[in-house]
Amino acid sequence: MEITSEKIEQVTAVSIRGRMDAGTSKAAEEQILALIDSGEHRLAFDLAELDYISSVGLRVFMLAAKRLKNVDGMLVACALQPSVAEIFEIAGFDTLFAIVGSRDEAITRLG
Amino acid sequence: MRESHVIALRANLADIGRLAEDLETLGDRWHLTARLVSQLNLTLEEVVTNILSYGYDDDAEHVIRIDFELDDDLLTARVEDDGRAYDPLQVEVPDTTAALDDRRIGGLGIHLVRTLMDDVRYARVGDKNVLTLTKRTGA
Repeated sequence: MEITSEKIEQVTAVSIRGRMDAGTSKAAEEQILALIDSGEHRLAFDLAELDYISSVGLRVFMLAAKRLKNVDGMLVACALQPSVAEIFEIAGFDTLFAIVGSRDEAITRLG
Repeated sequence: MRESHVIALRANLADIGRLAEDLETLGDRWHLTARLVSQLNLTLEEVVTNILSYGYDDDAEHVIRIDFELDDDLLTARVEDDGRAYDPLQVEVPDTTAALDDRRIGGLGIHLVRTLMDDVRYARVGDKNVLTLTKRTGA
């Protein structure tokens, strides 16, 4: 699991690659919450290369969304692979934050 | 056409990682779709993680046994552990439409399992917990 981020004007595009499962989600949580705590409050999560997510991974997104709400921030997820999109849908995440098709769309929404 | 396969995992986080690889191999052998393998991986990860969280109060090594069977297009995974009696299906269903402030993570794993699998049953058999999961492969 690898997380990289890139600042594009007001928005931080965060790419998550690999798997968010019981073994990798703790590291993901630490990195993402640190990013938010460092002042990045408009986050576009590019999940094009996220191959798998389980409930521990979903928890990370929920924590991020809650923490961002507390600082008037926002998150948008984009480019979900179909198997990941299915999981987000079952979990009802589409009512928690916007899930869009492309990184460009996500950045536009947040900008 | 009937196939069967057994995976024995030690009850620890490292073996959960191994599970993903074992399922990829099984998926190849039984010609399961990548999507089904992913759903199976998620399901079993949730089940095994729950067993680890609730099943044991000692430091002894425990084994979780998963018996797989493919009978034409019916896939069955039977997960057996020797932890204390625990029915993961008794967990409250989460509200997946709640607003962010009211959203809880508890119960989400089992909700995913129930939604992804066609059937899930729990039984206490002697000193074992047995969770039986079935799904049609659509083959």
